[in-house]
Amino acid sequence: MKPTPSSPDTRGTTLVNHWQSGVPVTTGPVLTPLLALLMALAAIGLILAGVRVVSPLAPFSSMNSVYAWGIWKTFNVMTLTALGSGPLALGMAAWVFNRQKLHVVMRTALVSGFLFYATGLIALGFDVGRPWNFYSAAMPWRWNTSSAMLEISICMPLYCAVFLSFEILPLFLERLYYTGNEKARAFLRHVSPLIRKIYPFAIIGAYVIPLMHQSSLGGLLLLAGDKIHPLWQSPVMPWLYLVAAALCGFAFTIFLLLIVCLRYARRLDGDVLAELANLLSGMCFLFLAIQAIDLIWRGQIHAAFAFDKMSLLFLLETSLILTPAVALRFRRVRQTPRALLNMSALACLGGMLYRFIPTSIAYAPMRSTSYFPSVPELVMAVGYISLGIVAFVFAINYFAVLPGEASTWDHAFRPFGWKHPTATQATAIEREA
Amino acid sequence: MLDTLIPFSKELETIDQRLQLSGISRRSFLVFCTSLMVAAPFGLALTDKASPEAVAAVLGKVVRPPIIWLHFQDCTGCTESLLQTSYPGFADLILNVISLEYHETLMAGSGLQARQALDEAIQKYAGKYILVVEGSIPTGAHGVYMKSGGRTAMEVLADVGGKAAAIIAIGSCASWGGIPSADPDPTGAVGVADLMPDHSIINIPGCPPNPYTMLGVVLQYAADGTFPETDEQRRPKFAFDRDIHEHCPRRAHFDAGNFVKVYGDAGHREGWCLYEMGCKGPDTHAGCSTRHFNEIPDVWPIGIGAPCIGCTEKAVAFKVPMFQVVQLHTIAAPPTSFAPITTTRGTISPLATGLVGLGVGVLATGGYVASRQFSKKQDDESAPGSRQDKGTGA
Repeated sequence: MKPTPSSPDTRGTTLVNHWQSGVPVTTGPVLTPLLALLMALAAIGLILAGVRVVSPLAPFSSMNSVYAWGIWKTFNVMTLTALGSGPLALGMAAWVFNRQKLHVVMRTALVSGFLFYATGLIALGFDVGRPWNFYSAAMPWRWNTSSAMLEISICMPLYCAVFLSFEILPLFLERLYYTGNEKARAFLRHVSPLIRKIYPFAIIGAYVIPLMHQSSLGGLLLLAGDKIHPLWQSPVMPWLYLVAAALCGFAFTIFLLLIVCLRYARRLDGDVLAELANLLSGMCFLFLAIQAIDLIWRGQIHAAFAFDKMSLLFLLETSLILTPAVALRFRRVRQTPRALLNMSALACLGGMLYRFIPTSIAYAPMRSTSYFPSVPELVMAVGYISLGIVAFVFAINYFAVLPGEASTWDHAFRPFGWKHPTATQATAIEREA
Repeated sequence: MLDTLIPFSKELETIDQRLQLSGISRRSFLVFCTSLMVAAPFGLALTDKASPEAVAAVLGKVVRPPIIWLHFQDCTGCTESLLQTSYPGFADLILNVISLEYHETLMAGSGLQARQALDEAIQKYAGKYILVVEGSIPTGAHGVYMKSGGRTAMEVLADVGGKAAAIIAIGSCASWGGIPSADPDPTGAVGVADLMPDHSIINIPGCPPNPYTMLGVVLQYAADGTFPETDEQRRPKFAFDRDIHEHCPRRAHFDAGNFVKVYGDAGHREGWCLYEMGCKGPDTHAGCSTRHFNEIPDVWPIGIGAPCIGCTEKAVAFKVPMFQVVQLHTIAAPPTSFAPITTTRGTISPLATGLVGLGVGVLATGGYVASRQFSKKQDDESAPGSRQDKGTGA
């Protein structure tokens, strides 16, 4: 497998969304031993998923009549889609709050977010108990409009398969443009202005729809009532789930950028990372503020300091979010890559804990049984994640995903009818090529 | 009670007046109002009130509708069904809520007396009364298959029905022929709507129908002179817009693939789905699955282990063989065998906990190594990410 040769275009390889920036990885072999291991894990996971469809529920998974939500739902969907909310968080900051710098790392967030959602949906697909009725989801007249699950089951695939896919469509078009034949190039020259025109409008959905289902995930847990420990069960749970998604989105994007740039010896712009870190810190504080006000309002603040099992778990989760929130206020921490990596990892952990705990650890129906995922369940969950990582590695090797070198980044973004100083230059280079 | 009924039964009065004249204690009045609330909880004009007091407040406006009840080719099952109402009790129903002028099963008189009562009622309430028809009308051989007082059923219907304000066809027979119209249909049995298509007719099919459907229709007419919204087969939507299958208590067994194969088998005793025994639930629209009969939970065909025969559907009951499995149109049939999904107790495998511990350990170590590498590289020229790097790339 030979990696794609890099393009001569110094501005990166953008065709439709020239405000973004991306250069494929060109160094080193794609297939490493680690990747082979992950591919094997993904394969085992998918084979087990096939077995799941025909196997009885009982010995294969540990799910039972009391804990009907296994690790695929609580971890692969409820928790990991929070990490996959990078496109939502960055997109909101970049498009709505005009943090134009963030457009340069948008592609990394988009691809990782897409893969988190896609693997989560695959996990859900194999989790569905009556797969032969699944096609009804595509027929609105069969929807059960009084089901709380409907919003999520329609919204998530719609977001992933339509809006997020459209947002990463330029990656494929660019690859086709730079590696395809003359006919393909002519076709793309013809259609890309059209796509460029509808792009900003079409991706509106990509920022509205996740707001709905990310909060609905929390809303779903409201239905569990007092099965969930009062520290987490709260009317503001939809808000907290949404804020936790934004928090995890920022934190995971920082984490991922740092890790891949370390792995492929790339350079990163400290300004962009500092900006992200700043937003992450803000999100952490927002999350903690909502949670604290809610606890005081509901008179449950004493439960947080009861120092029993749940209280310690709550304090751990809160300190995991509070530490990066405070630390990232300091310029020196924001500008030290190692500290930034550690802090973003802590924030990721904290956010994931918040998203995970109410669905499983703090979820205690009044029955004398328990749930801990079985080995096949765990292997499948790990398999889905490995599948996502494998896809990500291929994506950054064959598509212009990772941000280009710092000097090629274009921070001056004007979306409609703009004239950029280097735009003419870029077209000239295209013609040469 | 009957003594007080006679002087007032010949004029249109409200339930309110009726109760005052017949004398009623405060307590039994409130019981009566409460029972009206229970009667037809379909959101109808009289019975959607929140409290007995609210019902009492509107009783003054509700006219007791005069009702003439005719039997044609029937089994009297619909009447038997109506006799079982408890909310309100049957005596309350015919004496206080409605004004039952003529009913061949319930009346004491016979022969000439009965005929006289019918003629008087028609004359007195011409254009005001509701005609309830039970049973199909034979049309074959000029209607000779049924005669009452020297007139054929067709003539009686034309006479009494023509002067009625509205007609309620109760039961499948009166709605579209029912059992008498089943093949080979020697009497040429038809429903009321087939003979008087332009008349204001409400069909309440069923074999027998739930009496509260009839009561709901009559009470709404009494309250504001309107009939409930109907579907294209003239059935009131409030009672006939549900698919039996969609609300069936045994639906979960259908979805799980638990089917009765033979009457009396283990599944039948467990209360599994009767789809494979020819249950017409998926094709039938009626309220039976949510509103059972005689106010006793689970008293309805499927509830007692008999498949639905689709009696409220013109095209199904008495037309499709009873044990023929219906075609599913809106949902896919589940597989006949299905992996079991019921587990009452969870188990915790030591291997799984070990694997989770191992995974967490690997991730933590990996994270630490990655973090260390940053510190190392920071000393090198090629430090990624730091501010000084800006602009030195490419």
